[in-house]
Amino acid sequence: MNTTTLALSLLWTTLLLRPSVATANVYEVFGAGARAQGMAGAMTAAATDASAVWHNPAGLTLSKPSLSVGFGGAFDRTAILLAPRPAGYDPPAYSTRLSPRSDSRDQGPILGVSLGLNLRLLTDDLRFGALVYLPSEGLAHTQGYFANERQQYFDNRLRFERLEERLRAEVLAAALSYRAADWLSFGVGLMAQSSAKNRTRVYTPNAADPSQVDMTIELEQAFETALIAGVQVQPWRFLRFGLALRDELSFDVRGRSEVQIAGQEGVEPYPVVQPIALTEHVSVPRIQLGTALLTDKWTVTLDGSYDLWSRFRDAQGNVANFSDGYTVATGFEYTVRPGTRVRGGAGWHPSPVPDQTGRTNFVDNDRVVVSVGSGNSFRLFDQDFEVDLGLQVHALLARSVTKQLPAKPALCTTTTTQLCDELEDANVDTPLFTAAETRGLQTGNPGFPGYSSGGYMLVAGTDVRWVF
Amino acid sequence: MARSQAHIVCAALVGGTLACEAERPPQLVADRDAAPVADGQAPTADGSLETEGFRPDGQWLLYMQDRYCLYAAGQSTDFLVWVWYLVDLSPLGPGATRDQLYLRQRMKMCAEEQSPVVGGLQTFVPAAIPANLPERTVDAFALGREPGDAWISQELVELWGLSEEVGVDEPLPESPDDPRVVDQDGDGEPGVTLTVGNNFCDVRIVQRTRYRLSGELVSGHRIEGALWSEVDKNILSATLPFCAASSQLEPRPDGSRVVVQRVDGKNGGVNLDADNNGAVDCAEILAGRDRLVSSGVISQDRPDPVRCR
Repeated sequence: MNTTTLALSLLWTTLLLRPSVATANVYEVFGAGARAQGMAGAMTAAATDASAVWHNPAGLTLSKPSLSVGFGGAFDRTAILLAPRPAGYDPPAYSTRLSPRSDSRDQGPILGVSLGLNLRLLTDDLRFGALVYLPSEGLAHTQGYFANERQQYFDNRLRFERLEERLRAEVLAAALSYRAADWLSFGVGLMAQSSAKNRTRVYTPNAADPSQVDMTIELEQAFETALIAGVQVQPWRFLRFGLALRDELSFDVRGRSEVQIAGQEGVEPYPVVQPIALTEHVSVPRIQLGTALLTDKWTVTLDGSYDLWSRFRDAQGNVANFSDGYTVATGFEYTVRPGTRVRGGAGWHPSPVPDQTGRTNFVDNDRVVVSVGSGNSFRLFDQDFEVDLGLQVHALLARSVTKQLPAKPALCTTTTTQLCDELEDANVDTPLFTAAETRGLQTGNPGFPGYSSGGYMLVAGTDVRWVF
Repeated sequence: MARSQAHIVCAALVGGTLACEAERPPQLVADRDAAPVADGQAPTADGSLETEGFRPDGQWLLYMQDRYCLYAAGQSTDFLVWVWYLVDLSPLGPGATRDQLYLRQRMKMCAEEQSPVVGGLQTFVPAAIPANLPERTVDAFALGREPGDAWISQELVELWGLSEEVGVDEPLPESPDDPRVVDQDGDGEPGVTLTVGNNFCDVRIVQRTRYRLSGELVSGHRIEGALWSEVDKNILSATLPFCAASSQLEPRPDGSRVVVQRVDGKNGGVNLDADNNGAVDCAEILAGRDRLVSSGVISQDRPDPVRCR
């Protein structure tokens, strides 16, 4: 078996092993590695170290084998400010919610560690790469959320649907890359995300006292994976093209609770089954195309991506009705002197989320990214090392949402899309409401009657890479 | 970081042409006016209108929460019974003084609910039982018309599955063949039929409940007070032997209470007249029941698992 056959076999095996599904994460938003962060993430045709596993696995063959460790963080200064609630729209017992309706600010720093590997397999033309991001919150961190009126019963605030929790997810990715010719490389790999299956069995010995329960919990941890693949073509020494694909991936918890109540044995339904479903950290399928202009002193990149945001699912697993969208980014790297490089970049990430004038509160903003960075090579203990630094500012352009008041608000059901009524109209005065007050809209939707979102994030990362 | 600094960061980022910091939106939707309040009366905590003086003529809700410790199958359980009556209240005449009132109370049971008992099983009182109970007329006496004045009611006796001739101290029939037993709920079975659990079993019983009520006026449209009750019950038959097991009730007067609340919308009382026909009926009482509880007009305790241990 020659090397080409071996490589193709490995790639094909990797594809066959790919399960059916596939997380948004820091790499998707900030870029993988400090070099990418310094160039605004425009790396489809320029990533060659372990970060290529994420940006385009075909690039693994274009640099020396290396092992890297990185540390990064983001300082979040975004905010969602709620419009004052008008009087006369409160549903029953609205003042008794566990958490009062509140703005969303200062969600805390986002910190994590990256580990990267670019390893030679048999020949320089066949590489294995791995990339791991470990957030400071730990693995499988998640927080459920209802992007509608049901959130009033929980923390009663809004959140940035494409940021926040999605930036606190771990990343596990690995890829193989093969350089078929001097001008052609391709690569394929998998990214993985933990998932869980849960079965809880509950026995309630006294129906009159629900605080007394006997419970067993079965928890099964697993991994879901998604395909990442890419090709790089370099028809001339000064020009390289890259094409990369990523499938969708999410963190899913599925399961059910089976509740038995003493005295109800044999009475259907028995046991009472409560489904459990949570979907978080959704990464949608993405296709990205990049070019790199390469000279002795300059590398200039331009990337564009198309993301199938129409496939985005909310925390309950329902399609969120976003629009497919694109992003563009450009970056440069200039060699000031041998071993010392400076970088810069800019990107434009328009929001795929339509104006949330109805029932849902998916908060999202157009985002402008500006970045700077540097890279230095040095020798230590007779070994080659590189250290990169990347800084980004993500500006979320201010966006305001005003809910549309429906002329005839419908009662909230699973299919209602407009701002919906939580209190059925009455024809008679009651102790809590007069009949007139029940007519029309009563809602505790935290996004009602509107909100504004915006702010910025400061992102910084550094990598140290041992090149061997 | 101060707001001005944030502006500088954003302005520097996007060439000073766009702002990224969110500004709190103004009041986007105008306040919706509350329902008009007549004659300048102010709403009270229970949503009704404050008035002066007790005017008994009209329709009232009489709500009883009766509490017991129930001993059965080796367990003791905090057991609650909630009873909803519609009361037509009218003055019979003055008492010894101008402010004292004799009252006539024509009472119609609308519903009775019971908390779960042994094993979490709950007994349901079918609607046919209160629907077929005769209206009771019970007189009462108010010692005045002002908050704090006492209200005392004659004893109210409810007979389930029994002829009206059964006396208050008379032993209850034990056999379904006893001529004093009547098929009150019209289901073809002697006595009344209660359903236990979700059709877990049916129990046919005869029952006599004696209620003694007293309290005081807390406003012109509300009376609150204490409740003493005595329940005699015989099980005639059951579809499962388990459901025919005997039980013992120990009254817990400290957890029992009565509320009499005006519900015809007059004199500041709440209005449950859903169809605006000028009269409240049991269906309207039951339709407004949840809102009365959720608004706190009626306080409904839940069973306390340690109360009877």
